Amino acid sequence: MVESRPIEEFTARWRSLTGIFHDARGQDPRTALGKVLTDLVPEAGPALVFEDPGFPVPDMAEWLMGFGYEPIVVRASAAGPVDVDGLPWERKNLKEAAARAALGISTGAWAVAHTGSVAVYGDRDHGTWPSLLPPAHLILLRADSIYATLGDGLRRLHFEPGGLPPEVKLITGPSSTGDIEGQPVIGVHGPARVGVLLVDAH
Amino acid sequence: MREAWPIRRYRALQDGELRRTLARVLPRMAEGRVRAYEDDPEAEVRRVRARDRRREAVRNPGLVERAMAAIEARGGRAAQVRDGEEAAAYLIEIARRRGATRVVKSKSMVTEELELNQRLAAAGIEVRETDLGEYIIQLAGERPSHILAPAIHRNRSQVKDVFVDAATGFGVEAPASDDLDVLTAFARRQLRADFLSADIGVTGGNFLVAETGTLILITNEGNADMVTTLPEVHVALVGMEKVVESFEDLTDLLPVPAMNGVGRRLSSYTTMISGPRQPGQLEGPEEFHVLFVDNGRSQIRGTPFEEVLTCVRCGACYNVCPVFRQVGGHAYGSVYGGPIGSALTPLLSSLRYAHDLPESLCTLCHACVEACPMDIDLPHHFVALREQAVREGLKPKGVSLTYRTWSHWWESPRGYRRSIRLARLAQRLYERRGRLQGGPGLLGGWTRTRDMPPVARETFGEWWERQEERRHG
Repeated sequence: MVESRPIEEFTARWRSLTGIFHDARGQDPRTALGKVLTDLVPEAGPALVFEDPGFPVPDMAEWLMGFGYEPIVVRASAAGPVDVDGLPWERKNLKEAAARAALGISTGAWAVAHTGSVAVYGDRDHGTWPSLLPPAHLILLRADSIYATLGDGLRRLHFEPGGLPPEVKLITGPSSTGDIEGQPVIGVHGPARVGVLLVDAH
Repeated sequence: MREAWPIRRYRALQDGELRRTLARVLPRMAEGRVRAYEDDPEAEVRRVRARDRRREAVRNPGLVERAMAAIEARGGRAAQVRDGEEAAAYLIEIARRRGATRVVKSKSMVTEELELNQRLAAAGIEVRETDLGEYIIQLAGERPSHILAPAIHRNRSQVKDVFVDAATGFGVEAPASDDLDVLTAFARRQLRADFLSADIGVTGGNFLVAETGTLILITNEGNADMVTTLPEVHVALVGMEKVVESFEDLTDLLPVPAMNGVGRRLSSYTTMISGPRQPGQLEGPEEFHVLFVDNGRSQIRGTPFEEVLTCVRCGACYNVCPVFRQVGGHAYGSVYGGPIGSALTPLLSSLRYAHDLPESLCTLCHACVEACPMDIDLPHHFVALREQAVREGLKPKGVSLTYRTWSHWWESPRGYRRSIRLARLAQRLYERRGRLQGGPGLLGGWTRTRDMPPVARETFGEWWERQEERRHG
């Protein structure tokens, strides 16, 4: 049973930061994906998908094609990341593919209700480029991974069975700046639009 | 050689655009902090814990070594550098070894302090600042004027002018208007190409955890994440005072910069880097280096000024300082402006170099102490630095003599009364329409732009004495 209070607080915080939130629990995942993409991305295009081996969504690429996207799949393997045909990715090619994507999709490791933040990992099985280079980022988040406080999340990270990932990014809203006249502007180097699709724990 | 304070002050006060922008932006940031605390009852408890952890950390000289060992254990490289020359030499060595010529940088005050960009440029390495504010001032050839918002002294139309000039130089299309989205999109487009082609990424560090060797970068734009994951080499320059002991400390520390600087619970991106990329990973750098920078910090350790090292560079003191609100950051004539800069600059370099900052740019109003999440008692340190400046003979003789005479006369009630009688005689020479204008020595300069009321015909003390005499006759 997933506690609902942190989920509600997270939702309110995330939305207050202009984040898009869609609760897909108990829904058809394909339909839910379609809905959140309509809100998140103005126009379909290349979509960089970093598949999480701990969180497989086998039909994702197919669904994306159905919505008019061109999926660019990164799949972790023992020999390093491979594409949808099982061919190894070159670092340079992946960089360029990520840079031309209209959408990045990755999974959130955990989230914090109090701050409205989602943690994404950069390690062998997880990538942060989908959260960085495209103008929109969609995070798949499991309902049982939302913690009440930052301290709870950091404790989880500190004691990850695989050790600390080389890079962990706590995302709290879209890329933003106040550098000109102190006025808020959204979407500087990173994504202007960020979305969370909340899914069942299993 | 720094320009004299009166020149810097005059220039700042003449800049109407600067003062209008400061008056609009700074109070908003300061109010953001107050509201964020009101909105989160437990924030104060966390702040006090964070302060205590920082105080313990700067007193612990073994933390840097522990941090270095932890970084190396995770495949990173760590070194200590004394100054800008050593830091630049380290980077130039990497560049030579890898044949690298292009560096992208995320905003870092310590690299400003080390004049790293100039040193690298002299070695033929091209450095591109990628934080929007830093990009603007790099193109304009200026220094940062606020620790959080380095280009706060420029308004949108002035930013547009900078970008139009730059576009001509780059041979690209200039931004069509001074709309903020248009200006930001121009920077995004130009910098994107720099991120993708850079050989080395350089960052600072907000904190570094000794226990795990984890580097913390707190940003909003996303440029730091480009700088740390796209090039093959990432070099972080971290002030040696930024090291904290345990990973658990982060719970209270991570929110401090955003809460106090701008009133947000966390900035958009809190990035924690614990090493180079793993085998089988494509993102992230092949080489991860952390340079622990001294550059004058160890000379503050163990002195009465030690707590200045707990500063987390949140900018809260800039936002509330009445002097900063009038003159902005450039008037400080140093890398670190604002109240904290008035302490850090002379302490990191020498009092001889910058004794004007604690002397002239503080009214001792204590607004900075109230705002500081680390409770750094800056006015107390300013007074101590002023005393030290007098002891070291850094004040002009006339000034020292005037104050010495003044304090000698006012030491006793009798001296005080005598000085009043003397002043009443002397002021006849300077009284104009009931005000003192001009005067001997320092008073002459002081009254040039100010009015001083004359000493009363009869002071309260004299009146009281007269009443007593009448009563007891």
